[in-house]
Amino acid sequence: MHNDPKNRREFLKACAAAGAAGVWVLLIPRPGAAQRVHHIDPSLQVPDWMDHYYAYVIDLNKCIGCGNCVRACKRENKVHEKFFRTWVERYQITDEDHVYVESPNGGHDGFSGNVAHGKVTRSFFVPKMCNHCRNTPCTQVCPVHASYQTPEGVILVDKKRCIGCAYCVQACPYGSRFIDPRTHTADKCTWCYHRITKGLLPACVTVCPTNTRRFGDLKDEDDQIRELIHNARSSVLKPDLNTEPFCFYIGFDRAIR
Amino acid sequence: MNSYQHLSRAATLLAILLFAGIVLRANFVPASFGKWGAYRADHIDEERDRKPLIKADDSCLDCHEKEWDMADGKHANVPCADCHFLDGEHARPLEGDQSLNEFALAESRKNSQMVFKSLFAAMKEGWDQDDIEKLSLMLSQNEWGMRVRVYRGEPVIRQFGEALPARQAPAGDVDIRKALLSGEESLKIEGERDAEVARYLFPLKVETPCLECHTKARIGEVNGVIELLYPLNRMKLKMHTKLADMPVDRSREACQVCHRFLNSRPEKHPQVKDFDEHIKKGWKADMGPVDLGAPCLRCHKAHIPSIVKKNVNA
Ligand code: HEC
Ligand code: HEC
Ligand code: HEC
Ligand code: HEC
Ligand code: HEC
Repeated sequence: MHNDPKNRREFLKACAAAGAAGVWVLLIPRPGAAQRVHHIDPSLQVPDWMDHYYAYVIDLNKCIGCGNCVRACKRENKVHEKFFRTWVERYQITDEDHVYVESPNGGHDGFSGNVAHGKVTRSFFVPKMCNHCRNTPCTQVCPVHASYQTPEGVILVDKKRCIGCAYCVQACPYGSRFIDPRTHTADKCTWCYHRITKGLLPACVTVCPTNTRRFGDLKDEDDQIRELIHNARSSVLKPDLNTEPFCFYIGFDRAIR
Repeated sequence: MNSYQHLSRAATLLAILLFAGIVLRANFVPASFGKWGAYRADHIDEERDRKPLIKADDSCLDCHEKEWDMADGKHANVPCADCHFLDGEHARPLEGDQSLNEFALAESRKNSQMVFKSLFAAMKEGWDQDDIEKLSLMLSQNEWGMRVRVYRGEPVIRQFGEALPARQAPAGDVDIRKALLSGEESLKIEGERDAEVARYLFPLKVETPCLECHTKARIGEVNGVIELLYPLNRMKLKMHTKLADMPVDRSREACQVCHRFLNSRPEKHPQVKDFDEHIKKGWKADMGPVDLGAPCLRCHKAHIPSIVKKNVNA
């Protein structure tokens, strides 16, 4: 019975599959130890990132939909022309509570005309981008650890590792990610990590003519952003998902999705 | 015996796979992976090392103290980058030199109208060429260093004779010839950076009132060309000074700053490119007779809260 060639083949097949799986496990990089490293090896040159935790505030009362931010972002980050790391939506709500949302070319060229049918009772602009959640659905699903969160709370994508599987694009509840057709890798807002780590503001904040967009460091005692977040009545997008975004909205409206 | 062979085969297979795994891992998992966390640590450095393109305002102060001071006043809170889109090639006006060109064009047209008004008054007085020459010399004495000249065209030559030698257009000056023939205005900016000179040509076409004295001219012909030459630096200065003093809350010009010359892209609001047309179109019957000088605020109250109020408060 135990010489049955069919059984043996099954057994060898199972062995091979298990072995291949083992190779795969070896290939998946094990989560390294960010915190551990600090404790174990003090001689390592650790950037100053433990001193910062960033947050972003958008005051919806102030946005005029000029599109400066979208244009600045495009230039600063050389974003693909068809996609947006940040974009601006216009909400128009009629007296019958129909909600019309549009974002022509991401708000890059501003807004014109009227998309709503009926009498518009509320109309406002909502700038959007990566919310830099603390509980990130996007990085959790990345099979190759290309996307991750820095200790300052910034979510980045390592384009050299990214395989373009787009799981993260699907996982992000805010639509903040896309696959860049030029590189076939995921792309997203980085809060201009290359700027903020040099003490500059993100490009979109720099060019905002109305101070709608504010950026700051929650670990800096004197930063106005702390006051803003703590004292102003603010909200986040989709709080029910428990993603804990660090992008706060002042002047929120119940229609905003 | 048979079953040992089984085991050794399985063991060999596993060993091969283990070896393959180690080789693949060495080749595919980057060295810096896991240094800080479950990612390639080098990527953080790569990201940090990227060069910022768009600059913050304070950075302008170091070198542009003069402009910084001028940009004070009511527009103090308008970031430099709002009007000067900044990128790696330092600063340049948002749409190439368009803002400057449009400003220069508008200014030139205005000045040419002024020159023509003086010229017309002189003609009414029956002034001759010598007088007209004196007039253009007088008009050339102005705070912006603008030089004014008038060249006569075919219809005037036919009736009143050639221009005095000193008043003739330089031989081979194509631009003037072209303006005299086509009747089209032109603006050219020439010369080195920071010493650029604008040359504006404003053709004077024959219209019905001209025929009263210019009896040998036909409507549509070009009687002459007004030429304005001015250093651009002064024009730029003028523009900033103007911005600084602009009463943002009231005047029509205040709105034009952004909506014609600056960061409002003209292609986006084609309906406000020509303000007279815009106001005529927007004028409602119950507003009385059309007033082309009406301040923009007459019809636009909604926009003011955000951007403009901020400046008014400042
Ligand atoms: C390191 C010195 C320096 C800094 C900082 C600087 N500039 Fe300049 N800028 C210059 C010089 C020099 C010129 C003269 C022309 C040239 O070589 O570009 C100039 C020219 C300009 C011009 C005229 C360009 C043109 O087309 O004629 C603008 C507009 C301008 N700067 C805006 C800015 C703004 C806005 C900032 C701040 C974001 C800034 N600059 C920061 C040195 C500087
Ligand atoms: C409200 C719009 C506006 C703002 C704000 C503004 N500028 Fe300008 N600036 C202009 C215009 C218009 C010109 C002239 C034409 C051009 O170069 O486009 C000009 C010209 C300049 C020039 C060239 C002057 C020359 O002599 O060549 C410099 C330099 C400059 N600006 C720097 C700045 C700096 C620095 C700031 C911020 C403190 C600033 N500007 C803010 C509109 C603006
Ligand atoms: C009241 C009479 C009168 C009217 C009306 C008039 N002109 Fe003249 N114009 C003159 C006289 C006189 C001269 C100078 C002739 C001379 O002495 O060489 C002149 C000369 C000119 C010249 C040449 C100036 C020069 O520097 O050589 C131009 C150009 C001109 N006129 C354009 C016009 C245009 C365009 C109109 C209509 C909008 C017009 N004129 C209406 C009387 C008139
Ligand atoms: C400092 C620059 C600036 C000034 C000054 C300014 N605007 Fe604007 N305005 C903008 C910008 C930016 C937008 C956004 C649309 C765009 O980019 O064209 C805008 C948009 C508008 C719109 C369209 C609003 C909409 O919802 O589509 C109107 C109307 C308008 N402005 C009227 C005015 C009037 C009237 C004034 C003068 C009292 C004025 N603006 C002064 C910068 C300015
Ligand atoms: C007589 C009333 C009236 C006056 C005065 C007036 N506008 Fe308008 N404006 C309108 C109307 C009506 C609209 C909207 C209809 C349209 O899009 O043509 C409008 C639209 C605009 C827009 C927005 C166009 C868009 O794409 O959303 C801008 C910008 C603007 N006006 C600027 C100005 C400026 C600057 C002035 C002053 C020079 C001015 N307006 C004076 C009636 C007026």
